[in-house]
Amino acid sequence: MDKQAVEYFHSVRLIEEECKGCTHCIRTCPTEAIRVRHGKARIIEERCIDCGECIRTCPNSAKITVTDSLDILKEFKHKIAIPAPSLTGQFSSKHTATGMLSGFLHMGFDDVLEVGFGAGLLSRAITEYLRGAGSRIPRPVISSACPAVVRLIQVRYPGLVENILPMQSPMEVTARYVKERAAEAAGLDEKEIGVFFISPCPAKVTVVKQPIGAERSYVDGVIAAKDAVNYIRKNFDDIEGRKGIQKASGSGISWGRRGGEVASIDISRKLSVDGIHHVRKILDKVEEGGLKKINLIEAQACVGGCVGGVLMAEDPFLAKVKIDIVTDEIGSKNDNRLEEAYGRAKREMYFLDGKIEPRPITPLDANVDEAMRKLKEIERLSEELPGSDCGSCGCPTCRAFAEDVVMGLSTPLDCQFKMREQVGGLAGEIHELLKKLPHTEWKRGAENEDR
Amino acid sequence: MSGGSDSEEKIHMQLPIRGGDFSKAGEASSKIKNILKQLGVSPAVIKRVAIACFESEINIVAYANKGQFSVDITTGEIRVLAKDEGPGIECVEMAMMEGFSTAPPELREMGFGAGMGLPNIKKAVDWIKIESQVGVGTELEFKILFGGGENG
Ligand SMILES: Nc1ncnc2c1ncn2[C@@H]1O[C@H](COP(=O)(O)OP(=O)(O)OP(=O)(O)O)[C@@H](O)[C@H]1O
Ligand code: SF4
Ligand code: SF4
Ligand SMILES: [Mg+2]
Repeated sequence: MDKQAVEYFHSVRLIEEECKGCTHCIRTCPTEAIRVRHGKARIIEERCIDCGECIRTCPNSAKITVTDSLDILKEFKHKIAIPAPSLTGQFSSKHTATGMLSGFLHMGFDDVLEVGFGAGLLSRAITEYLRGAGSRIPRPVISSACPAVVRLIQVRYPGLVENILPMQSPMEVTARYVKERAAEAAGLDEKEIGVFFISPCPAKVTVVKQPIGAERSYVDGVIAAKDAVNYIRKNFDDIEGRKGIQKASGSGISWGRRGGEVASIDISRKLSVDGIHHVRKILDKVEEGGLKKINLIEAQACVGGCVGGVLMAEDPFLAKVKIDIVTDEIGSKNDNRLEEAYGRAKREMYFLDGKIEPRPITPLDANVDEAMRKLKEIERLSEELPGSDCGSCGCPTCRAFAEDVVMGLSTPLDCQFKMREQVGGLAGEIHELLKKLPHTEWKRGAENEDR
Repeated sequence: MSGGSDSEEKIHMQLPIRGGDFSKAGEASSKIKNILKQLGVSPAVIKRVAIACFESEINIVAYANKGQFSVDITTGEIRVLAKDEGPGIECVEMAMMEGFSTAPPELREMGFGAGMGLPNIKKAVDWIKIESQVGVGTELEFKILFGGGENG
């Protein structure tokens, strides 16, 4: 199989000047995608899933998320903001849900619809699907809502892509719903309408620029949640609340925190897991043939769910409480409206239009024999290394270093311990030479014989 | 990819498994799984290897005092010998039946004891041999071919 050079878009980037090469991030990356080379923490594009874990751990703020600036609003005639459900948890009690949403109008948007609304629609669609045609998907079914988890599966658990729920995310459902409605209502062409997702994380930025299992995204731009939150907090006293702007159901908004998704889907035997490293443990179990009796897994890369996203402004645990307070207040107030919308919406809008393809890491070699030879070399070299995973070679583990050496990306002397051994050996040789030289007569050619 | 079996390259590994230590259970299987991923073995085959390795590893952890995997990988297949020192199995035929289990309550509390481990291994592999001596230990050996995709 010929591997073409595929270009991946990544929203997580390194600001080289800020990076001190401290190696903090290389250990926390769940896919071992980072290597410190020439003092800078470079990301191996093929492996990165844009989970944002490195942004969280970097003490120098050298890892960042690339989002769109508000300038891009100018490119569209009609602009709609679709804030993530987790945004609800970012404000104090004086900022009501209506106030928060009206803040987007103050910012220059023409309209706003909570992604919690789409989550509400989707909850119904998923319930219907899993009880019907979706009963054929291998168990456990894994939610497709967190794009970092979907990428993790594509890259590290390619055998599990068939377990992924083949449905759109709440973001896409909301974007499509609102764009089609707005085009109809305002008599505009869809191209004149800009839909902007207010995002908790880099993974959502990436999935908009490079959709998974879909031709295109209905989202036109992604704005960092904390930018919007800061704006709304600062201008709150000038914001005029618009009645009826809050349309999402309580259960839709609860998707913004861990457990909200599974709670809103009416089937039995559900599991909720959060935090990318813990997600890996659960996926390992599934790969080993476990958890077959579980019908649905909600897996979120961030601790606490999307409230724990790196673009959030509030502490995730406080944000969760706030979401719960707001969803309690809303209760079933918006359920009728949602039911009506669900009845009208086309079913196909909930489904991915393509298959999710596995994207396994490149094997050691396309030729199996050669791959085996390299693997043996890796095993041998690993044995020789101290196994302390000290990180000073710039690799997350001694084993990863051995892999890099065999793949020609590092040299053995990049390891401090190997280096010392070598220096020790050299010192010994020098010592021997020193003993020898004064007693022998210098002859030309002797140095060649010695090698 | 060439699935040729006339090649020389072979990998041999010994992976120790500690009895009773559930916190480490799965490490040996995980290691094997990752190696096969690096070799470019197909996801469907890796899944079968993962199931067979994990179930036999768990059985050693759950029932035996200690054991080890001897793993041989060639370009065409993987062969695993899971050998343990432990109580052994009284009647292998019974143990291979779906639903047969002698797992004590503590194990059942942890979610084991459905009596599906050995039957699932059998379904996942292309060849299996199991020998056991009461009071001495158990030797479970299996083979999975890389060429095959799905397996009944
Ligand atoms: N290595 C072993 N040493 C001793 N007894 C074993 C060993 N492996 C299996 N057994 C016996 O065989 C029985 C059946 O094993 P099997 O793995 O099929 O089911 P289980 O371990 O009881 O339950 P499950 O694997 O579904 O959690 C076990 O209950 C145990 O009595
Ligand atoms: S975003 Fe996640 S996967 Fe990508 S380099 Fe950072 S920690 Fe690794
Ligand atoms: S859990 Fe939510 S915030 Fe975190 S990466 Fe996934 S989608 Fe983004
Ligand atoms: Mg068992």
